[in-house]
Amino acid sequence: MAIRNILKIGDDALNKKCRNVAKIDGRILTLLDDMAETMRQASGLGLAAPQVGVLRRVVVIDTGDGLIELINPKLTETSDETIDDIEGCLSVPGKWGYVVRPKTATVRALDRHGKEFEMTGEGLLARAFCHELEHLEGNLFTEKVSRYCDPDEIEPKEGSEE
Amino acid sequence: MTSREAAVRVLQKTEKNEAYANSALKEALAKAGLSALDNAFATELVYGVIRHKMRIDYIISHYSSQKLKNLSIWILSILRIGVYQLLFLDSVPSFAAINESVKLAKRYGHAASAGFVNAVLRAVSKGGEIKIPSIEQYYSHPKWLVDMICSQYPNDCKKILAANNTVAPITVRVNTLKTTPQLLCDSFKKSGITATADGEIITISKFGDLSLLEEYKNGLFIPQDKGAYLAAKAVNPKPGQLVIDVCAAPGGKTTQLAQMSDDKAKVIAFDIHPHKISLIERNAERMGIGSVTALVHDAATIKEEYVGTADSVLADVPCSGLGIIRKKPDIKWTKSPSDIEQIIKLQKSILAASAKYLKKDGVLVYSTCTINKHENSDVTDDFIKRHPFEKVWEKQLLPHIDNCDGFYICKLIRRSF
Ligand SMILES: [Zn+2]
Repeated sequence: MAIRNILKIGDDALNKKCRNVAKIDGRILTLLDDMAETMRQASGLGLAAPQVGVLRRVVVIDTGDGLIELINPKLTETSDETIDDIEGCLSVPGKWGYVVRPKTATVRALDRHGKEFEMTGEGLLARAFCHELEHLEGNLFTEKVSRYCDPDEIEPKEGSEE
Repeated sequence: MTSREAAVRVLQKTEKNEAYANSALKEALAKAGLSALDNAFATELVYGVIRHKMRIDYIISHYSSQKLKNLSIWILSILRIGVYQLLFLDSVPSFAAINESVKLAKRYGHAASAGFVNAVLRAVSKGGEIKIPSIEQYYSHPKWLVDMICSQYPNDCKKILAANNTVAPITVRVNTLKTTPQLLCDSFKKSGITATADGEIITISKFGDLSLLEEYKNGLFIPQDKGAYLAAKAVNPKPGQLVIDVCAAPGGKTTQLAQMSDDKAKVIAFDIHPHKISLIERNAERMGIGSVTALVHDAATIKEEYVGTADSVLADVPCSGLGIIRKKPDIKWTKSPSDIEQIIKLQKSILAASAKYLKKDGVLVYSTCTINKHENSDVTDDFIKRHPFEKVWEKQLLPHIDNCDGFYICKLIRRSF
C-alpha cells in the first residue's frame, strides 16, 4: 500500500469523465488499497480515483462506519428532501461551502470481488455518494456551492450579496 | 463615605490581591450608598488607576521624595487617584483633586502622610506630564505582555496597547423571541438611554446595574459583547438540532443559541460551577426560553451520554482574557505567563472532549476572549493535527479594529471528500 498524491483544483485530470472498470485485476485492488490509505492520511471522508490521477470509476468512502469501496457506482435513487450544508473537497484545500444535497441517496456498485450491491446513505453518507460520483463525471463541488464559508458567514460585509 | 474613599478602599483591596476590581467595586458601592453620579465617579477612578497604574507610578516616583515601595498601600492608592484626577480627568479641578486626597491621607495615614501627599500632588499639578521612558510604562502593561503582543502583532502593537486602555462600549443582545432591535431601542430612548442597534447588538449609554432596567426584567435583552455574539452565531443551530455549550455560564451565548433556533433546538449547557447553573437557568427563564438544559459538568472531561449525539458544539473555553482588558484592566496585573501555560493545557483538553460529542457531520466552534495566539490558532492547529478535523475558517477580532472584545473564533468540521 502506498500514499498517493492528491491532485488539486486546476489539474486536468479532475475535469475528465472517468471510464468504467472492465476487469477487477491486481492493479484495481492496489488502487483501492492506496486510495483508502491516502484518504485516511488526509483525514478525508471519501476519495475518488481521478483525485489521485486515475480516470477509472472507483471510489472509497469512510464516514465513520467503516470503509466502503465502490467500483462503477451509479446513483439509482435520491430523495426529494434535501439538506443545505457545508462540505469541502480534498482537491480544493482551504475552501468550504454550502451545497444542497439529497437527504438520502442510493448507489449500485460492484465490490472488490466483482459482486453487485446496493447501498442507501443518509445525511453525511448521501452527501459523500453525491460528491464522489460527481468527481467521476469530472465535476467539482465548487460548481454547486451556493455560498462559501468564511468569517463573513457571521458578519457579512456591507453591500455583499446574500 | 465619598466616592474617592470608596475608590481608595477598592484599590487597596485589589492591590493586595484580595479581590477582583469588579467584585470589590460592586461590594464597596453597595455599602457606600452613593448617588448614581458618585458611583460613576468612583468607578472611573478605580478603573482609571488600574488602567494607567505603571504610568501613574512612574509619575509619582518622579515627583516623590520617597521610594514607592516604602509607601503604605493606602497612601500609594490615595496618590494614584490624585494623579489620575490631575492628569487624566479634565473635569476635576486641581485643587479638588489635591484637597480631597490630603483629607483621605489624614484618615488613612499619619500626620506626616497628609503633608507628603500634598507635596507630591502639588508638584505633579505644577510639573504636569513628563516623558515616560518605556513602552511598558507609557501604556501601563507588564513587560511580558508588551513583549507578547508586540511579537504576535508587530504592526498593531501600540494600537492594541492603547485600545486596551480605553473604555469599552456597553452592549446588549436583543431577545428576538420577545422583541425587535427597533422596539427595544425605542423603549431605551423613552427612558432617556441612548441606544444604537447594529443587528441584534445594541450599544447603550446606561451606566451601572443593567439588571435594574424594566427591559431586563422583562427578558428583552441580555448584556453581551459583539465578539461573544459572533462566536455563538458561528454555530448557527437549526430547529430540532442538539447543541452543546460546554462552558456556558452566565448563558449569554447559550440563550443566543436557543434564540437562533427559534427556541426549537435542544441546547445543553454545561458549567463546572454549580452556582452558575442557576444563573443560566434564570437567564433562560427571564428571556422566555424553554430549550435550554443546564447541567453541572467539567468540560475537560467527557459526559458519556452525549458522545456522538450533537449537531454542533460551542467550546468557549476559559482563557487569559487578554481580549477584554478594556473591561477588566486588572487582568494586566493578575495574569502571568505561567497561568497561561496552565490554561492552554485546559483549553486543549476541553476542545478534545468537545469533539467527542459531535455526530460524524457535526460542527465545532472554538472561541476565546483573548488575543494570544498561543491560546487561539496554536490550540486549534494542534487539535487538527491530532483529530480528523479541518478549520473551515478562523477569525481574530481586535478591539481597536472591530470595537468589540478581542475574541478568537474558529469553526471546525470533518467533511472533506
Ligand atoms: Zn472531492
